[in-house]
Amino acid sequence: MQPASKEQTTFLRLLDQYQPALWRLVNAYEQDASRRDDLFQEIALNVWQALPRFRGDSSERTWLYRIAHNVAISGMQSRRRTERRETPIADSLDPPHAGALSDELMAAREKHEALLAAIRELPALDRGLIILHLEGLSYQEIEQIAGLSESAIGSRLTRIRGRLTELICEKGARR
Amino acid sequence: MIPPNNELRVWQDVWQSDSGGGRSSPADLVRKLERRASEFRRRIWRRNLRESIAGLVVFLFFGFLAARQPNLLARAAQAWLAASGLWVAFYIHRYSKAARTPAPDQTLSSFRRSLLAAYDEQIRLLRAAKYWYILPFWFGLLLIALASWKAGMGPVQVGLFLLWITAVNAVVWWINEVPGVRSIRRKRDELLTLIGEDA
Repeated sequence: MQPASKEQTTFLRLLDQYQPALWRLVNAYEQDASRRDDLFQEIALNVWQALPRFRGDSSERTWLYRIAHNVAISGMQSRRRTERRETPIADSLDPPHAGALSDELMAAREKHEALLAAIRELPALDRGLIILHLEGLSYQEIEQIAGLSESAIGSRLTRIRGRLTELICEKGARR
Repeated sequence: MIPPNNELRVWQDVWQSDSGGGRSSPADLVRKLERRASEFRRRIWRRNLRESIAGLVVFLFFGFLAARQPNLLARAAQAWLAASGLWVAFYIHRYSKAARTPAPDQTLSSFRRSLLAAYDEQIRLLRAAKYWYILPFWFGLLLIALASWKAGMGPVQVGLFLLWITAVNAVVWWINEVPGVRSIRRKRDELLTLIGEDA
């Protein structure tokens, strides 16, 4: 299914616009550094293939996130099965040399890694919801992506944020 | 311990300040996607071809035998088996589509429901294999046994043949019904654990 040139232009624009957000999502779903490229490509491929079906019933952003999260969740399941047969490669966020970063940047990086590690502990749907929340999407947009009511999202996010705080504190205390 | 709004804002800043380590140039990515999409199309094409050839081979083999049979009952049995080969190939082709991964451009909740429905459909197909797969072949082989008995084969030989075809079909039934269904059930349970029961 090859998109026409107009669709290809839209695809490239979407990719350009949302690539950092998609990579953040990929990092949150895929712990194994060597498999992140694969997951990103899988998401991009699904976006590309779904583009001819996009009728603008929702915003491009919510549509894109729907695909990305669904692909990541179904990928998680098949990767779990593979992981039982293989030894997973250790996680790597390509840490820079300590001396290369200022204290402020190091602290920011540590905070980010702590947040990311805590998010990876969450079940898939909770993970998806908190990522959308952290990306700054409104409850209404999250509703369009998750298919849950705004009130359900609100109460669920309250619980997830509580759990996230606990996880970050636990990890901080262990250091 | 729920973070107050200002803490949430800090988390959002921390999260969004990360570039995610994006490494794909759009042109490179499009090339890779074209390759993946074409590999995927080829894989589907090869699978469809395999299914069609298997059905056709069974059809031609038993069709050929039916055409050479002077005995009417034996001819009917061979023709039945030939038709069964085509039927099974058609059934697999028709219903395996429903059990494939659903389109991802739906909400997370409906995608979850669709994934579960796809697993349920696979379980249904495996459970129903005794009707759409095993029964047609078993019945055809039963007709062959009957034709052979009418043509003068001894009752012991006919009995052994019947026992053998029933045992083979029973093993196929068991493989579908027990380890097959168990494996799909495990995947379904894993999905529920992964996504949560209450989504």
